[in-house]
Amino acid sequence: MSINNPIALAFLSAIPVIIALYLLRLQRKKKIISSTFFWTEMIQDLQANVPFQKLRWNILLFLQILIALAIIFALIDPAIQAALNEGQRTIFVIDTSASMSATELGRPRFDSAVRNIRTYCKGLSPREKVMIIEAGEHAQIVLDFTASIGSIERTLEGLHVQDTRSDIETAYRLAISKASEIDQPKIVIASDFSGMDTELFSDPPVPVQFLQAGEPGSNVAITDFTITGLSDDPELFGFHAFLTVRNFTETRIEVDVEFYVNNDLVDVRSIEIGPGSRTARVFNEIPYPYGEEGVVEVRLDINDDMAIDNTAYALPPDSEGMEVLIAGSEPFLLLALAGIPGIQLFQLDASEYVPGAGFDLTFFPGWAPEDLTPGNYVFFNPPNRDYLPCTLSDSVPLPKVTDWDDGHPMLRFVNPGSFDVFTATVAQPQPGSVVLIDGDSTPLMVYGERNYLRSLVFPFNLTSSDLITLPTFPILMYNVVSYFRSHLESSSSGIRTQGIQAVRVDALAEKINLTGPGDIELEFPIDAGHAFIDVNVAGIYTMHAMGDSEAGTEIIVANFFDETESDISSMAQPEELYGSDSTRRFEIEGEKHVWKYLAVIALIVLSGEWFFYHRKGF
Amino acid sequence: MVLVTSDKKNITLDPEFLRRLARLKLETRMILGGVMKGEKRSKKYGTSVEFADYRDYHRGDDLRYLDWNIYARLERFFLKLFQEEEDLTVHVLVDTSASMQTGDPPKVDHARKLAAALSYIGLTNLDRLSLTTFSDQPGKGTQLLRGRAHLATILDLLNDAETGGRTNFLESMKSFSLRHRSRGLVFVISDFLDPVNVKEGIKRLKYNKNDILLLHVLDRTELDPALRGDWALTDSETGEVVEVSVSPKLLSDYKRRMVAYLDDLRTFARKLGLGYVLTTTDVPVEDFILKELVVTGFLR
Repeated sequence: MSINNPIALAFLSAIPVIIALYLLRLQRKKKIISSTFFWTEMIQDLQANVPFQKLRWNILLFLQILIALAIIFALIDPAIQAALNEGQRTIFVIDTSASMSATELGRPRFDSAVRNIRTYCKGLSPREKVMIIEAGEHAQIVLDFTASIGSIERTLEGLHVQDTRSDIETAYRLAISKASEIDQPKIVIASDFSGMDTELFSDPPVPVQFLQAGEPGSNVAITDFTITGLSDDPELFGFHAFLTVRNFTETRIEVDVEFYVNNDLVDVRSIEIGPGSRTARVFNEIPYPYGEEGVVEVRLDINDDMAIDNTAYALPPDSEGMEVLIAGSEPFLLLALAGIPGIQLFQLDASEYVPGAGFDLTFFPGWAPEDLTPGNYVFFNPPNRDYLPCTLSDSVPLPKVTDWDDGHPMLRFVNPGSFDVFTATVAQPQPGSVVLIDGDSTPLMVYGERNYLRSLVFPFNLTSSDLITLPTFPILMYNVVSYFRSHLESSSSGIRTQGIQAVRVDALAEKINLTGPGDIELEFPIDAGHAFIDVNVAGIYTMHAMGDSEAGTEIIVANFFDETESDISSMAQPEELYGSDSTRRFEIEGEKHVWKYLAVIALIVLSGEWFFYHRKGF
Repeated sequence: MVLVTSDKKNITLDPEFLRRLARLKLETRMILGGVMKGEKRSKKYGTSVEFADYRDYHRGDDLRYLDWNIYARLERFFLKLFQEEEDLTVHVLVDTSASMQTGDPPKVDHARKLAAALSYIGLTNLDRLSLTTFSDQPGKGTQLLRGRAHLATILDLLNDAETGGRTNFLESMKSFSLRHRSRGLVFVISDFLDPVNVKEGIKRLKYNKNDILLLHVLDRTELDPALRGDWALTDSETGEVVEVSVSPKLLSDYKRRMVAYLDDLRTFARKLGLGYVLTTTDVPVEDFILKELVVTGFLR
C-alpha cells in the first residue's frame, strides 16, 4: 500500500481532541437514588478490568474515533497495488447498410445489432468509455468516447439503416486508427457480415469482438430498372420497361411485377426466376396516362425478408434526350450510337475537343485528353492518363476473354465470349475500379470512378477486334449509354443511392436543394454545371436550384440496385474464422485508490452512531 | 448530604379498609408473657377460665383456687391451675431514613401507611403496641399503648416523623432493644438498604426472643431501573455521586445483584425463623395487608 497524501496524517492529532471533547461534552443526567451501593459495587468491578478508568468503554466514543480514522485514512489517499479493470475504451462499429434492414420474424437485423450493443453497454463500468462508428455508405464517428449511457442511447436512437452498401472496411480501419491512440482499446463490430470480405479482420492489432446480427434470409431483388420508348401517339401511349430481377432463394419463384404511375397501378406482369439466378426482361407497351408527368414505380409482389429492393423507380425519358459526344472519328461507333433512341449525338474532331463542354457522355476513340472535368467518359485504347481507372502500358497480342461480370447492366444481353481482340494494351486496374471483362493477358473492359469522373476503358481499338462486326456491339453500346444515363437526373432510372452522382443542372445557381422521402432535406453544391449528389435513401426526390428564382423544381429518383447487399442468403462468420475476443475488460497493474471505500465506512459508522445515540438512548 | 422530606403527606386510611382491618388480629408464633391480661395465651398459669392442671397446695396460695371436691374425696389440698391469657406486645419499627424518601410514591409514605394499618389492628385487639421510627438511630417513638383510642397518637407520630438521615440499622436496633426489653411481635418496615448492618441489627432484635417480621419496602424502579445512557447517580443518604454509563449489560448486572441481595436477605430471615415479605410501592397497602400479609400467618 502506498500513501499519496502523507500530510493528512497530521489529522491523527484529532483523535486525542475527540477523546478530550468526549470527556468534556458528556453531560450526565442527574438522579437521586436510595442507595448507590449496588452501582458502586459494579463500577468497582468494571474499573478493576479497565486500564483507563476515565475512558471506560463507550460505544459512541469508539464510533467517533472510527469515523475520524476512516476520514483521515481517506484524506491520506492510500492506494493498493491491484489489477485494475476500469478505463477500457470500446469502439463499436455498427453496420447500417441496406442488408441490415433484412428481417427475421419481423425484426430487422439492425435492431438486433442495436440490442446487442445495448446489452453490451449495460455491463460497462462507469469508467469505461465507448465510441460508435457508423459503417454506412461512408464511415463516420457518430459518438466520440463517452461513458454517458444517455449519449450512447441517443446515438443509437439516431442511427438508421441506409439504402446503401456498407463501407465496413473504412469503418474498421478508422476504428483501428482510433484504437491505436488509446490504452485498453477494444473493437466490437456489430453487423450481419453479409457479403463481406472477412479477410479484413484477420490478425487484428487490437482485440476484436464480433456481434453477429441475424441469420441468412431469402430475398428477391430488383437490380436494374429503366424505361424507354414513350410514344407520342395518345392511342399507343406507353413505355417499355427493362427490368432485371435476381432470385437469391434456393427455389424457383413466380412473382407478379406491378407497374405504377404516380402511385396508380397501370399494369401487372408476371415473371419466373430459377433458384439463385437472374433474369433481365423487357416489358413492352406498359400503359402510361397520356399527358401526365410522373414517376413510374415497379414493385415485386412478394413477401421476402428484404423489402427495400422490391421497389424501383424510373422517370419518363427526357424528350430532349441525352447529349452524347464522339470526340474523334470512329464510324462504327457513330453507327452504333446513332441507332440508340433518346440521345442527341454529336461528333467533333479530337483537336476541337474542349474539356468541360457539358456533354452527358463523351467517347474518346483511340485517344484521351491530358485533363478532364468531372463527367462520363468512354475510352477506346487511350494513352495512359492519371484519371483513368487503369494504368496502361505495353501492347499484347490476341488477348482471350476469360471472364466477365454478367450481372453488370453494361453487359446485359451481351456475350463477351463471342468476340476476339487482335491487339490490346495491358491495363492494370487501379484500386476501386471494376473489371467487367477480363482476359488472359489483360482486362478488356475496366470501369471506375475517381473524383466524380466516371470512365469506361476498352484497352483496344475497335478496329483491332471483330466486335464491331457482331450484333452484340450495338447492344453493348446501348447498355453503356443506358448505364451512364442512369447517373443523370434526366435518365429514366435516376440516380443510385450508392456513391456520389453528378447531375447536370442548367440553372444559374451555386447550390441545389433536395427534398425526399422521410422529410429528407439536403443541399449540394453545383460545379461545372453539375450537382454532385449523395443520397442514401431510395425514393423520389424534388430538386430545386437555390438562388435562382427562374429555375423550377425537378423530380429525380434514387434507386437501390446492389446485388451484394441484396444477397442476404449467406453471411460471413468472422467469429468462426478468426475467433472473437469476448472478454470485456483488460486488467493492468496499477494503484487502486481506496479512499472512497473509507469514506463509505465513515458514512456507515456515522449512521450507526446516530442510531445508537438517538434510538438506543445512550 | 441527607435528604429531608418537605412534602410530607398525612396518612389517610379508608373507613372501609379500617372496618376490614378491625376483623384481623395480629398473631405471633411464640408464647409470650405479658403484664396485663389480654387475649393471647401465656405459658404462665393464671386466673383465666381455661383449666390447665393441678398442683399441691403451698402455704400462701390463694384459697379460692383450691379444689374442694378433690379434698372431699382424697382429703388432700390441690390447687387448680388455669391457663392465663395475657395481652400481646407489638412493636412497629418504621425506617424514616433518607433512602425511604426516594421512589414514586416515596417509600416512606408506603411504610407509614403500612405501620398505621398494623397499629390499628394491634390497638383494636387490645394489644400493647409501640411505634418507633428510626434512621441513623431510633427516632421518636411511643410508649406501649393499648386501645383504639391511641390510634390518633400513632398517626400523629407518623405524620410528624422527620424523614432523613443515614440508615444505621445496627445502632437503631441496639437502641430499640435496650428500651424495649419485653418480648413481642416486632414489625420492621424498611428498605433495608444498609446491607452491612441489616443482618447484625436483626440479630440484635432476635436476641430478645422477639417474633420478627421484616417488611421490605422497595420502589419498583429499584428492582428494574429505567435508566439508559450516562447518569450521575446521587446516594440519597451519603450524597455520594456515582457516574455510570448504563448499558444493557450493566443494567442486567444490577438486576442480578439486586435479586441476589433479596435472596440473601430472605434466606437469612428463614434461618433465624423470621418472617420476610417484600412489597413495592406500586402495590396498594390495602391489597398487601389483606392478601399478602395474611398468608404469612402474622395476621389472622
